[in-house]
Amino acid sequence: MTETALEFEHVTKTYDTSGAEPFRALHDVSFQIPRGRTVAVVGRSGSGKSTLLHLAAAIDLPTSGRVVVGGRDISSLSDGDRSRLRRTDVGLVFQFFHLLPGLSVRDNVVLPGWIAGRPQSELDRRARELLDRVGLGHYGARPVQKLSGGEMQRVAICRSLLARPKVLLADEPTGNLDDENARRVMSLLLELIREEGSTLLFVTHSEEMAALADEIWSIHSGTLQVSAPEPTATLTASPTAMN
Amino acid sequence: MIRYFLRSLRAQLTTGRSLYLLSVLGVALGVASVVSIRILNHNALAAFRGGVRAVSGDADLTVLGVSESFADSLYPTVLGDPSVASAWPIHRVGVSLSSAPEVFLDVIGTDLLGVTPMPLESAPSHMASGSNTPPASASEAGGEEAGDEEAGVGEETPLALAVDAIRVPGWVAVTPRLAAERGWALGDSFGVTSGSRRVTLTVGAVVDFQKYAPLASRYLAVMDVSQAQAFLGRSGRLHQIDVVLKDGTDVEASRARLARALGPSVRVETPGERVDDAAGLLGAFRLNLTALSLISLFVGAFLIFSSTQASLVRRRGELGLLRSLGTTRAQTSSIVLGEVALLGAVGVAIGLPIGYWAAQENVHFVSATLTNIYLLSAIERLEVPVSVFVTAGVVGIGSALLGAILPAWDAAKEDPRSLLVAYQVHESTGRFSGTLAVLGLGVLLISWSAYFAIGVFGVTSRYSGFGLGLALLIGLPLLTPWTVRTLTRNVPARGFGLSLSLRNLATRLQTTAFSVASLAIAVSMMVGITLLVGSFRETLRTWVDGSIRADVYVTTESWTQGGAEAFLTDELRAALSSHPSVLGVESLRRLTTRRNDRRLPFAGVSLGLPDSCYAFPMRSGNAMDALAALRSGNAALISEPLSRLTGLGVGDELEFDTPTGTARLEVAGVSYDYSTEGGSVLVSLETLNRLFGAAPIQNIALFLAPEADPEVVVSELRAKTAGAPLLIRSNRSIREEVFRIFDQTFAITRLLQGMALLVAACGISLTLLVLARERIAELALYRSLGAVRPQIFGLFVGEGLSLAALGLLLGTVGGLVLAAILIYVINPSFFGWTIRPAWSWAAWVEQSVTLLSTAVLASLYPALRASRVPAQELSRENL
Ligand SMILES: Nc1ncnc2c1ncn2[C@@H]1O[C@H](COP(=O)(O)OP(=O)(O)OP(=O)(O)O)[C@@H](O)[C@H]1O
Ligand SMILES: [Mg+2]
Repeated sequence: MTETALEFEHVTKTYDTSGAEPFRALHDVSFQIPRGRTVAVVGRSGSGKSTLLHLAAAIDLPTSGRVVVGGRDISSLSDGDRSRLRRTDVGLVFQFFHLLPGLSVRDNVVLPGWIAGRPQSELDRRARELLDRVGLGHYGARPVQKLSGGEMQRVAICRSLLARPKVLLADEPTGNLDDENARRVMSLLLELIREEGSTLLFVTHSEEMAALADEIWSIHSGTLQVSAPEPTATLTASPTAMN
Repeated sequence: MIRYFLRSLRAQLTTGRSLYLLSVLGVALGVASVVSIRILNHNALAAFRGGVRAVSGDADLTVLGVSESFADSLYPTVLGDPSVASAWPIHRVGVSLSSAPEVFLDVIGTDLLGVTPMPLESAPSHMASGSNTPPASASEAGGEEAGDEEAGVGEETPLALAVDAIRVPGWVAVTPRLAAERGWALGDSFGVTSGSRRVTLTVGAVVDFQKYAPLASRYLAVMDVSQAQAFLGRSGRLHQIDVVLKDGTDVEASRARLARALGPSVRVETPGERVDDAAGLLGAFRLNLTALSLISLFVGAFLIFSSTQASLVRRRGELGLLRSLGTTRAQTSSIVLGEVALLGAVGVAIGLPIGYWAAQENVHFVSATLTNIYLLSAIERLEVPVSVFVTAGVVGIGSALLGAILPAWDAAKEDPRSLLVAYQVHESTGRFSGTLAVLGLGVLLISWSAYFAIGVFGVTSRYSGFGLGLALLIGLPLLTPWTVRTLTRNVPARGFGLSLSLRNLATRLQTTAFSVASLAIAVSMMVGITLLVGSFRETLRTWVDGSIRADVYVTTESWTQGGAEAFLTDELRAALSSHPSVLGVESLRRLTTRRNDRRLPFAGVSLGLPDSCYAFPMRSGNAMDALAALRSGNAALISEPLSRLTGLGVGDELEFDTPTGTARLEVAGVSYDYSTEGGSVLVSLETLNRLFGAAPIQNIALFLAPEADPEVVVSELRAKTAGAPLLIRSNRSIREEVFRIFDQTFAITRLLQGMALLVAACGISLTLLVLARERIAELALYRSLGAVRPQIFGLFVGEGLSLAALGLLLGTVGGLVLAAILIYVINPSFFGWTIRPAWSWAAWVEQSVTLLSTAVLASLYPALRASRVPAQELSRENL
């Protein structure tokens, strides 16, 4: 059996809303994603997609159930250990790129390496390799705020892959790009994931983008549904989610 | 709109409470530093005015000696003038309490049977129990319980009291506060010393000057004039005659007539002139305080300015939203200005009491300077003039509004969309930084060229130094954004640490530049003043080494306040000089006379020792020639400040008043002298006695055999003269005393330095809190990329340290320039002393360490806040 990159077991997430009843953002979600697979998550606004990704990134903790990232149950980890888990096992790509305006392209790419305290020479090598790969090899010294949207997202992808994470999580990575750029960035992302042997879980509103993934899951008011289960997938969605 | 205004105010208070509080605190501290200095400055003179009011009451004119005292035979002449309604003689002596020599009584000897304004009262016997309330009229001079007695019963009439005052030897009336403080009851006796004499006084009544002159000193005491002359001063001499004129008299005419009739030994002054005279005497000191208060005003205004700036930068997005929802520009601007004015008002309300408290805490330093150096009355209680409230309001609200003008204008801009992006502000600040720097350089260049141009054309103003200082305080902040940007932008970012902290400062220039600029101003002030005081102290040390040459100095306990009456008797002088180790004795007599309206302190020195004992620290002229000229009896040695003030040099003639008319002496030399700021004159004792009439000496200096141990001789001399109220001090302890007084005089600068440090700390906290808010998304990004909380915490403390380090760098440069202006421009034109600059690394290191540790402390809370930003914020915020 292939290695499992990410696993949810009966995960429920409720938010305390001041006064009113607690709001249930995720309800009894269970799945396993094997290493190397790409999954698209679709769903209406407010259905819980970002919540799912936050849990997968160990940024937030489930109210009940188990979230296992890189073989470790995040609920058993301290805040610091979860941070360190993100350094090694998780990569993140955001809709609004989130690049630091004061830093150059290269410095933005190596930022996670600085946080992890890795040697600069190693980081420089890896950054050059990634930037070359996304066609921004000669942009390293440029200030990041001068780039176009598509270029920015390519830089953000390089940043997310710097530490060769087991899982890459992307929240509407193409949501802020025009169709042309969206297509280019998405296919680049999928190529890189395959080359690096990483796993991708991404949220999208676009059917076209979703179709590029191995699997498409949909989420409705906190309940996950798997629309195209493939026989190779070791997916054990919970009974409620199957309905 | 009003509804929105109130809502947003409430929202700010609930969500950004610490930020809002810090802004208010910034305003409050700024206001407080201005207020405290203003209060002290006002009261330095008010205390004197209170003293004049207490003693002279409603007198229209006062007759004063040109030097110390005059013959009491002039009193009948005053009474004989047709326009004089009443007049009373005053013999005034500063005496020292035997039980506490550092406490001085200002004894007013006057004619208590005549028409005096002294509010004498008999007092209840329990007045010693500590209450400060003026004695009730229902009280008794006896010893029984007061209180349940009927009004008027047992009360001694003023006439009866006055008779007692003449009849009972040593009868004195003291203030109720002093009686309470020292635990005296009616009938109690206490010892005082005047010069080398010891006298026992008896409390015969209370005299509550503070009833009608609230600022009058509690150390005033009243006794009969003849008793005061006989026991404490000199018979046949008076210090003052207060005169009340008949209604409808032409004051000027009477004054001229009196002056003519009384002759050259006295001058006739109005109460206003006496206050002006004290104001003149205190001129330089008060100027110092004014300069300090101007600096504190600037630092305070700057802090307020940047607090408001910072809080508005943060709210740019919200204002942009309002604009895009259709509010007009005028509405947006008035929201901003209204909020800021309110913030200013709250700050003023908090700052006023803090300022009063700070003044109260520091008043003893100012008071000590007044009594030690200027021999004026101490500050008893603080009066807060209305102008202080006005200043506080203008400073607090004014600088807050000033700080809001730019953001308000920015918020009312054409395109509301640009307001929604915070990063753009910092970008544009970055672009403008070059222009601002050029502007700052321009201000500095223009001020310096103007200064030198004025010098070339010979039109020198005493105030031009302040122009230079002001230009520096304006130029430095203008240069700050460019400096910060240049220094931090090109730091190679290597890892998640200090280098990234530095880079982040450049990225958020709008916020950081303000705080670095206010730090730089605060540090300039700290460094500049420390440098001035330190240099002055070093110069003084050199001077003291050269001029304090005798081995033992002898004076009396009451010498600082006693004036000419604090004399040493010939017997004591003989007893001291007969000690076997004493090789030579030098006698000193001091008095103060006048030249036009200027006080002129004279010192007469016996000059009977071998030439080698005299090494005058000469600024111009030759020391040995000067000594010979002084001994010849027709020459004087003048001090550097006097030479600067009068323009007199070697060979010129010095003119001054004596009891017999104007006298002249040739200037034999100009010496360095840091003992008086108005300048002083040294002549031979013989010359002094010839010109002003013979009188006893006040101080002697002893030169010992080389093998004698001064400390041993001092204790032997003390044993020999046991019982006499003498201060016998070795060379070493007199030096220590000089520096103790020096440090006391400059202690007030420490108040400002402390304020500056607090202001700096506030600025750092404020900036970092604003940064923590502005950068929530960035912090969430760090967290989502795997940064642990301590890393974010460290990053912020690093940013606080970097802010402080940049402020320190700019401020040190600014401080050096400020010190140069103070030492080379302001000091010569106002004080006339030569001060040699002395840089102390130790002091600088100490201040740097203090500032950097303060910065770390000030960063802790914002860093904690920043480290608590959760990674989830990322999905909500844009960078
Ligand atoms: N911290 C929170 N506190 C309370 N409610 C929250 C919190 N975060 C999310 N929610 C709620 O949980 C629900 C799911 O939010 P989530 O951000 O996962 O939606 P989403 O599917 O990502 O939507 P979109 O496509 O608009 O980004 C929403 O209704 C949201 O209001
Ligand atoms: Mg979302």
